Amino acid sequence: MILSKLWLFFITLIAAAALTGLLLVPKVADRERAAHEHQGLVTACSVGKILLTNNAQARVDFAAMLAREPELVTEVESLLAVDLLAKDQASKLRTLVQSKLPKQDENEPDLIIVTDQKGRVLSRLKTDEDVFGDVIAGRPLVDQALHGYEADDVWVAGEKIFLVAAAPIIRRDAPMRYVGALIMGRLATGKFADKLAGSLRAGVLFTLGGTMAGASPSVVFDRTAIERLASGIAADGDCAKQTPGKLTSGPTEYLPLASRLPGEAGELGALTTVFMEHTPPRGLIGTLKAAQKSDIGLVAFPWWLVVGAFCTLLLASFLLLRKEAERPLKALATDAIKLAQGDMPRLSEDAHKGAFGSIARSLNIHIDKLGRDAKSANANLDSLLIAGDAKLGALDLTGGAGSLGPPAPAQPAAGRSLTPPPIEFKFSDAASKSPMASAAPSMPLPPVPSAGAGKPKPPTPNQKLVLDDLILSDDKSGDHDSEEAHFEAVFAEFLRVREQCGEGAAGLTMEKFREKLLRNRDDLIAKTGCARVKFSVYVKDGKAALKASPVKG
Amino acid sequence: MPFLIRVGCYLALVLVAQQRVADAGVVAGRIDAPPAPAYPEPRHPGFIKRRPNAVLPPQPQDVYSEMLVMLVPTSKQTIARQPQLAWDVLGESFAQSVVGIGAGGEVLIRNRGKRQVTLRCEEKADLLETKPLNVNAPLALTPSTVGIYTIVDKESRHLRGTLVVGESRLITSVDNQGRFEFADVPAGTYKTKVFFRSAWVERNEEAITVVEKGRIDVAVKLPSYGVKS
Repeated sequence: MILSKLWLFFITLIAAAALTGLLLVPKVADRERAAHEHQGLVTACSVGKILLTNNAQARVDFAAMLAREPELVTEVESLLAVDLLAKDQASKLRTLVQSKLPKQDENEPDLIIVTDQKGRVLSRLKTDEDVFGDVIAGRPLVDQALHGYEADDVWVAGEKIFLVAAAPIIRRDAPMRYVGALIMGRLATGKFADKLAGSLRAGVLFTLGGTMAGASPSVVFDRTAIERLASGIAADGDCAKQTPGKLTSGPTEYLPLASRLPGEAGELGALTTVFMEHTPPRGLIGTLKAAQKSDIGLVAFPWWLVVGAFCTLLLASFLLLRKEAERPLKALATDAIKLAQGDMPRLSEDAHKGAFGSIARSLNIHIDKLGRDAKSANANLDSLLIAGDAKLGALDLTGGAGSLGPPAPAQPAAGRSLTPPPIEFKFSDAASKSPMASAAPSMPLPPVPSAGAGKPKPPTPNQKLVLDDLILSDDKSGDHDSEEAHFEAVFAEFLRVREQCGEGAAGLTMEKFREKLLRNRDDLIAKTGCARVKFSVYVKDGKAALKASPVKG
Repeated sequence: MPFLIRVGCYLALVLVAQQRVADAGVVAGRIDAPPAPAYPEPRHPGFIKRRPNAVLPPQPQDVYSEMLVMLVPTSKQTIARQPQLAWDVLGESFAQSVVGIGAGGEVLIRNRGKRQVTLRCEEKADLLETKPLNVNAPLALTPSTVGIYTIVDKESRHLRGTLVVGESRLITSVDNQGRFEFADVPAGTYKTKVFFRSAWVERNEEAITVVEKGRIDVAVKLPSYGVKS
């Protein structure tokens, strides 16, 4: 059975490992998914910066191209000497700039400003068109352009964020000189965010303090949560070093990664944020619920592995069960049947291994004990039946078929068979069919003396006298009177046989005889559980003897 | 009668002042500065690094617009009352990024832009009252303590100017060629000091002597733009 125990341990170990894996896998999957989300955010953040940089580059190129328009240069130069600008002059310049813009361009600017070389606004386009003549020199971007540089910046106007670029306006004819600057910008709105988000696989959000300037997709976030976004920004602006925050919009949770916008707006707290919908940890149940039909399809799922493992374990279990349990049990059962049928006196202990051998040994011990008890009881009855000088003869208390069968060949020394009684036992059967009965020719019964008969013949040694008729009649009555009658009949028979054997009946009384029979009857009933006990008289070693046999039913 | 006394006193003061002006000399000069460096990078650049245009070389910094010259008398002098200094805000910047005045002089800040500004002093909060300054509205202040003060707009941090309050009332700005002139300098000996952008320049401060009704041309050599605190 050691293999069975090892196998059980092995199976339990596999089950524990499988359960551990089952509980562990969702955790690992959740962690991996969180890492994947974070990596996706970092990538979106990095790509977003690249896209914004490219966009700034395109804006600067566009501003430089527009600033090089000869008509614009001429018009600006003509206004340098004008101290007080007229509305018509500003309008004319605006119309001129408008005519130079590409038609129906999705990148059409939301703001264009033209200044002279001192930073005085000559004209505005798209935004605050009626305002002109003010000086915007002093803004870093404008000063850069007035000194000959092409650059970009991010401006804040109210709650709006402008992504701006500037280029100097240069007179190209001799003498070449700087005559002004052109500034153009785009509003960071939802439309602009849409364009960025389309390339990022993530949402894009522009914020200023706690205010949303533009978002894609169009979702509304809590102001406090937006204000907290800045806390996760790394000092060097590296997306990979930044800590994702948390944004919620209704029941949906988002994972944001914010970056400070550059330029003036960044100084004022303007941020650009990429965000993704966050999937909370699912756990085991959530993972199982999330499984789809395609996940367990024949192609996608390694059913061959599951079925193979199941069949292997099942087959191994069956084989082991057969080897260590079924076969030994069957052999023990076969031996037990042989024992019951009297084909073997005891169970073979060597043929059975392990616990089955132990069972066989225990049974053998019990059989031996029963034999010893029966022998002892027989001896006691013999000694008691003979009171004083008289002897009642030997009382065979083995009972059952054993008493009727031939002596066990395996244990000749015991003098008695230990084979179990047949299931159905009748004295008539025992008399006619039992081994004892079959052995009758070898042990002919002496004739029962009848009244008025002559001197009785001495019985043959070891001859057994059977009182079938008498006992059967007793069995049928089953009450006290019949038992008493049985005892009397046995007593009479006992006296008769003693006389035949020449033993005499001095000192032998019916009371003592009955007392002894009752005691032995009770002992035998207690030991065998039989219903009744029948006694018979027989000749043993030339002396009268009594035999007690249990009767079932 | 009191009226006549008052008129008499006034006339006497005018005569004394005219006498002093008549006794004053002129100090003119030019700052000989090293070549101006390139225009500085912005403190908060945009997404891309600025690039020079492909047509004309970028203009260097206008260093002279951020310079001041001050004459510090080496002996006790009586200097005429200095006039009020007007300092204009032009939208997103001051008309002059650096202005100077002697201690006790009055500065009048005027908002010439098209939007309201709210100015404050970074170094000394009580130098001027922090309140919105409407378009064309004036704001007067009289700094009495020598020092360098930065005036900024609360909303637009790029709108900032430097107010230099000197121990001498003979302090003036220079033109875009580095030229300067003090018209009414009482006779005496002075040292010249040069201020650039945010501090006084560390240099050998040569002594000049001004005589009555005389004119002195001074060449102020500026070895570098290094400054001393």
